[in-house]
Amino acid sequence: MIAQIKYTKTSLEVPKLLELYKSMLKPRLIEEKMLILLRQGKISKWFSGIGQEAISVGVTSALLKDEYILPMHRNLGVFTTREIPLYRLFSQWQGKANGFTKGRDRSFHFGTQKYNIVGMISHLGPQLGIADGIALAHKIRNEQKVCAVFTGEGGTSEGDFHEALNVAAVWSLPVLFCVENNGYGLSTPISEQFKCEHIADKGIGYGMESHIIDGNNIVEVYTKVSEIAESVRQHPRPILLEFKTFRMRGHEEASGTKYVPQDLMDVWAAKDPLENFQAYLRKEKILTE
Amino acid sequence: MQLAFDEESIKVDLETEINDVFKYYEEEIIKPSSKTKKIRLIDAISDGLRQSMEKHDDLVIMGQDIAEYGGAFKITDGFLEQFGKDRIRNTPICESAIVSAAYGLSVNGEKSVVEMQFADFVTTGFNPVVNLLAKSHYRWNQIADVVVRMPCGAGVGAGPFHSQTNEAWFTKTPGLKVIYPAFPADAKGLLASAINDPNPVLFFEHKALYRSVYQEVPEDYYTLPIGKASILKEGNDITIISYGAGVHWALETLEKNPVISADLIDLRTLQPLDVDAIYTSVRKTGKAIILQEDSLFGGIASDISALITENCFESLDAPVKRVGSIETPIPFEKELEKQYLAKNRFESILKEIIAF
Repeated sequence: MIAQIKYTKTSLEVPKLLELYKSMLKPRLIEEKMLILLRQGKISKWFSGIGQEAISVGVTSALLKDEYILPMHRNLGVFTTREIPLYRLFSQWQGKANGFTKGRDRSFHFGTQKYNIVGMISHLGPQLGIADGIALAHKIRNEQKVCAVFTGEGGTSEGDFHEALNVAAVWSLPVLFCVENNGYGLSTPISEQFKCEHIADKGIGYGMESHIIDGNNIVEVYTKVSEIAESVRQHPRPILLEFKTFRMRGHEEASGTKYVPQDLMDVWAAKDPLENFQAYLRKEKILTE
Repeated sequence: MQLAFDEESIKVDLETEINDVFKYYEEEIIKPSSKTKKIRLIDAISDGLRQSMEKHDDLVIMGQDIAEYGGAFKITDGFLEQFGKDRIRNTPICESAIVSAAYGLSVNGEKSVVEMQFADFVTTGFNPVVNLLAKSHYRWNQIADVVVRMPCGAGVGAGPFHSQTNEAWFTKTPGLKVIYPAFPADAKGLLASAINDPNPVLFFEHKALYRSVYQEVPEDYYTLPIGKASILKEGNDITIISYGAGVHWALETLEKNPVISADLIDLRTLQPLDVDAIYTSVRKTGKAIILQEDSLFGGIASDISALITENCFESLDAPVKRVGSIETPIPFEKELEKQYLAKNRFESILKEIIAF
């Protein structure tokens, strides 16, 4: 694989770089195991976030442990970086008592106050508004905290996206709206989801600051989000972040990727966040065999 | 991984499932003081809301035009000056995000009240009410400490989009409490209780009753139990069950017909329903009639009728009758609206069943 991602030199120390690498490795290894279990029929569903680990891991690493994060079904890296005990996650997936919902909801549809994570419901819109409310409480209490909420580029089509951004902007709420633009909403490519070129451009419509970030570059994600988060803690306001990335597997394993052109797959495979970072760390002699 | 596979399956227990829909909560009953003042429904609600804002000093109210303007019905008039901009929040027209934000406040430890400008507009925030608020505690033990206030009801010539009484959508959804007072003193005490309750509550306030119903209302803060009906009249021939404006229609009818001996039950809370009060009364009288302002089919009267038939069958001397408005959207013009509303048909059906 020819390394495609360029990592700029930053002030990040070696321990931090290794930490970020290991944090991305964890969800990748779990996912690879999950795919095997799925094929063996031991779990019924899996929504793969392979290829998008840098975003989940980078954002979670940039936030403080007591700041709320609102992930979706493809953000395993949020849960692992917050160090949720893995056996509990596996229980949750199997609908068992050590999960988080007593078997009443599946997969990532849960929250946990202990880890400051509020998971999604199947309807994609509401969590954006929930983030507004969480941030509002911090603001009223004069606490310097941010709240990060995830959605996909498909989710930005929901009316709730518009409403939540509008409210956050009008009330200057400290929310990081993290849009993972991974090219597909189930089978729907972005050309059939919206007409604009960059979701980040919608920021203008809301009077909101926005940024485009290379979602496969862990160093860029981590350093940019850390910087932005700190700025928001000091000066509360919402920010629209568009992470450019690609969904390497299907919406869920059952739906497959037949509709994705192979050359597109190949281009993005070369931009794998883990393999690229691994290559970089090896080159810098930070990582050895 | 192995730990999870080896783990036993969830024990299926009905009681556990039902009990986890709501957060268990010991109601704080504060008795009303003896000092009262004659005020309208709208004043009682405003009073109750204000006193709750004083009691819970982190309570937040959100709604359209509720700050400087004091709200479409002026219920929050003066609140901005007393409680400040952080807690009295005028919102953009984004019902769905605001209800979701109210849930977010709850996640982060704060109580809130969301004022729908009209109950009719809850539909643009319907999803978070039924899918977020209603299911949260059951799913992951997280409370949705939110009261949604719903100015509702017809008889004011306001047409199809400003006259609905849509309680049935919410009584039908597990995980929501629904309160619907007919009188000022009830409204004040029940609103306080609704706000104290950490579970999601829809609080219905009838617009036509706002400025027309007066009552001696205790001046201090007090609470009333959620889920308890009130017996307004006692008699032997029939049980009349109603709520909201229907209670006043029933009272008018009884005044006009003093020879009728009836139990009149004002439900006050629709979810949870006070079935004990209903069954006790029907077992005594042997006849039941349920009056609702909502269009008939699929409204709460139908469920109450079914409950009575299933649980009081041996006691019944007549079919259980439901009286509701006709199956059309609510018309604007005065005479059309009169024909629409259940009020005009109640007296004759009541007499019919008494004579059965």
